[in-house]
Amino acid sequence: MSEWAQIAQVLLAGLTNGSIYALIALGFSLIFAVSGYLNLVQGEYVVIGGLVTIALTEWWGVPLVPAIAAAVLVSCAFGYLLQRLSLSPNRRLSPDAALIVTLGGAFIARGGAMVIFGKDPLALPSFSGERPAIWGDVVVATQSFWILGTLIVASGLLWWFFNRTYTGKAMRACAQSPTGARLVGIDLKHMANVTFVTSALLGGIAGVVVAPLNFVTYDEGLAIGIKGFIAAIFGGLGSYPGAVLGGLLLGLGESLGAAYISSQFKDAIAFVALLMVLLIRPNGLLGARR
Amino acid sequence: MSGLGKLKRAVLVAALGLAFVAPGAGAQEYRIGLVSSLTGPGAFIGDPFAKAAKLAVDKANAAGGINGKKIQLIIYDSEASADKTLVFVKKLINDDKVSVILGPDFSGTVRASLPTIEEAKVASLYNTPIIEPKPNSFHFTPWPSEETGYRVALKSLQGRGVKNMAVIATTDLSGESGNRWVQKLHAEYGIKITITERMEMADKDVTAQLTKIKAARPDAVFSIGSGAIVAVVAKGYTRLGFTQPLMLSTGAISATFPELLKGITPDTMIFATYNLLVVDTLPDSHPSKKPIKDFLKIYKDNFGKDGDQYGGSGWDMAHIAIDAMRKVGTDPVKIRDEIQKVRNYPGTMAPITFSPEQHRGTADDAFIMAQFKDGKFTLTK
Repeated sequence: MSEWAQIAQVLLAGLTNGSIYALIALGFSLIFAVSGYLNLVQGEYVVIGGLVTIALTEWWGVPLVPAIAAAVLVSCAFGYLLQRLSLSPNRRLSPDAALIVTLGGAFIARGGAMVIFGKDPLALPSFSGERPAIWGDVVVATQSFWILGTLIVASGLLWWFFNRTYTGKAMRACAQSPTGARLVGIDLKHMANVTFVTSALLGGIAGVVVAPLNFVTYDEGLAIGIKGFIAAIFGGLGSYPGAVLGGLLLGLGESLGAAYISSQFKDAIAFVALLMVLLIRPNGLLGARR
Repeated sequence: MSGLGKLKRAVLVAALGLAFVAPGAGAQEYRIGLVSSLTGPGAFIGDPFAKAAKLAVDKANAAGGINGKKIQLIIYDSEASADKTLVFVKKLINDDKVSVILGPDFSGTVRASLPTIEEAKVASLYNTPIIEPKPNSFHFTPWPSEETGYRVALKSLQGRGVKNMAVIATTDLSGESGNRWVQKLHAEYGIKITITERMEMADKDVTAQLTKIKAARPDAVFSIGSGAIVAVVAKGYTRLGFTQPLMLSTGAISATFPELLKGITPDTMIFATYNLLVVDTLPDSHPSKKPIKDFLKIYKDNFGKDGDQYGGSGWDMAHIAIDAMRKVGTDPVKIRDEIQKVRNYPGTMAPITFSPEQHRGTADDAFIMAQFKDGKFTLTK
C-alpha cells in the first residue's frame, strides 16, 4: 500500500466521521442560536433514527424508504415533545436548568431505547450494498458517500431555508435579537418549535445514514452527542458554517491523530487541538464575538 | 392437630435447634451455598450459573438426594459487589453452616472472599478464569486460565506459518491484559509483532488503525477486545480487503454473534472458543460432546433458553460438590480433599481434573479453534 493511498484512506475515514459530527453540530448550533440552550438530546436523535430504521426494516420487513421516513418522524416527534413539555420559551428556564432538562431527556431516550430495542448492537445493511468502492489501494464503503452527500444536501437546504424562506429569516432574527424579533411580531414559541424539530430532523437523518457504516447500540447517544457538541464549539457555537467546518476538522483530526501520532491517545489528540484553537480564538473558528 | 402431632413437632424443632448449636453433630444436613451476581451488571454470568446449579441439585434430589436425604441449596445475590459477597460468604459459613460454596463469580468478588474462605476451611468452587487458585488451598475453579487461551491462539497462528503479526487491542482492562499476554508470549511461538494499535471500546470506526496495519503487511492480525468492537473490527477488516487471518481474543465471540456479523465477516476470522459454543460441530468421540448436549437439553427444557458456558460451569460445579458430599459426608475439609481427587470428570468445558497442587480444573483442551463461515461456527486448526 503506497504512502499516498494510505493518507487518502485515512482522510476519507476522517471525512466520513466528520460529516456525522457536523450534522450533530448543526443541531446544537441551531438550538443554541435561537434559544440559547444546549440540547444534550442531540446524540439520542442519532440513536433513535438508526434503531427505528433497523427495527422497521429488519424486524418487520418494512421497505427502506418508508422506514427511514418513519424513523426521522419518530426522532422529530421526540424533539417536539421535549421542547413542548419542558423547554418551551414561556417557561423561561435558565440555560443551566435547560441543560439539566435535556440531560434528563437524553436518559429517558436511552432507557426507552434499551427497553424497546434491547442491549445488543444492531446492524443495518448498506444502502448500496456491502461491496466497497475501490481505487487502487484505496477502499471506501459506499455508505461513506451517502453520509457525505447527506451533509452536503442538508447544508444546502439549511442555507436556502435561512436565506430564502420567511420562517428561516425569522429564525435568524430571533437569533440576533429575541426582543427585536418579538417587537416585529415574530412568534418566539413557534420559532422554538421549528428549531427543535429541525435539529431533531438533522440528528435523525444522521442516525439513519450512519447506521449501516457500523452498529447502533442504545447507549451511544451521549458519547456521539458530545463529539458533535465539541465540533460545534470548535467551529463556533451558533454558526452554521462553523458547525460543518468544526465537524469535518474534528473527524479529520481524530483520524490523522490515530494513524500518524498514536491510536492510544486518539481522543486526547483531538481535545488538545480543540483547546489550542479555543486559546487563540475563544469563540471558535467561525464564531461571532459574544 | 392432635396433641401427639404437636409433641412430634416440638421434638423436631428441638432437634433442629440442637443441630444448629452443634454443627457436625447433625452430620446428615447436606447444605450447599451459592453466592453470585443474580442481578445487576454481572447478571449475564451469575444468573445462568445459579439457575444451572439449582437444576443440578433438583435433579439429584429428584433421584433420592444423598442417602435418601435432600440436598439444600442456599442462594444469595451478590449483585457483583465485593462487600455484599463477603457478607453472604460469612453468612453461609457461620449461620447456614454449608459444607461447600459455589461462586462467587468475578475477580473482585473472589478476591474479597478468598481470606474468609481459607480461614474457615470451607471448599469453594469459583466462577472466573482470572484468579489463579493456590495449591492446597480451599479454592477451585474449572475455568482454564487466560494465558492458556492466548497460547492456544498463538499456537494456531504458528501452525499457519505466521511470522509477522499485527495487534489491535482495546484500551480497557481486558484489552490491556490481553495485549500484555500477547506481547509476553509471542516470541515463544516464533512470531514477531510488527505493529501494535489501540482502540476504544466505544469506537465506531477503526479504519485509521487498520489502514496503518495494512500498510505494515503482517501475516495475521490479532484483535483483542469483546462486544460490539469485535464487529467493528471485522467489518473494517472486510471492507479494507484484508486476506490475512484475523485472530480474535477468547471470549470475544458469543452465541449472538451470527446475527450481528451477518454478511460482513471475513472468511479468515478465527478464534479460540469454548467447546460448548461449537458443540454441534464436535465429533461424537469428543469427551465433552455428551455432557454439553445433556446440559443444554435439560437447561432448555427448564428455562426455554439456550444454556451458555456460565450455566455449564454452574452445572459442573454443583455436580462435583454433590459427588464429593455423597462420598465423604458434610465435613468441609474432607470435601476439599475429595475434590482434589477428581480425575477427568466429564464437564461441559472439558474433562475436569483437580489435584492437591492443581486447583484449576481444565487447560488447553477447554479451548477449540473455530471459524465463522456462512453464518455458522465451524471447526478449524
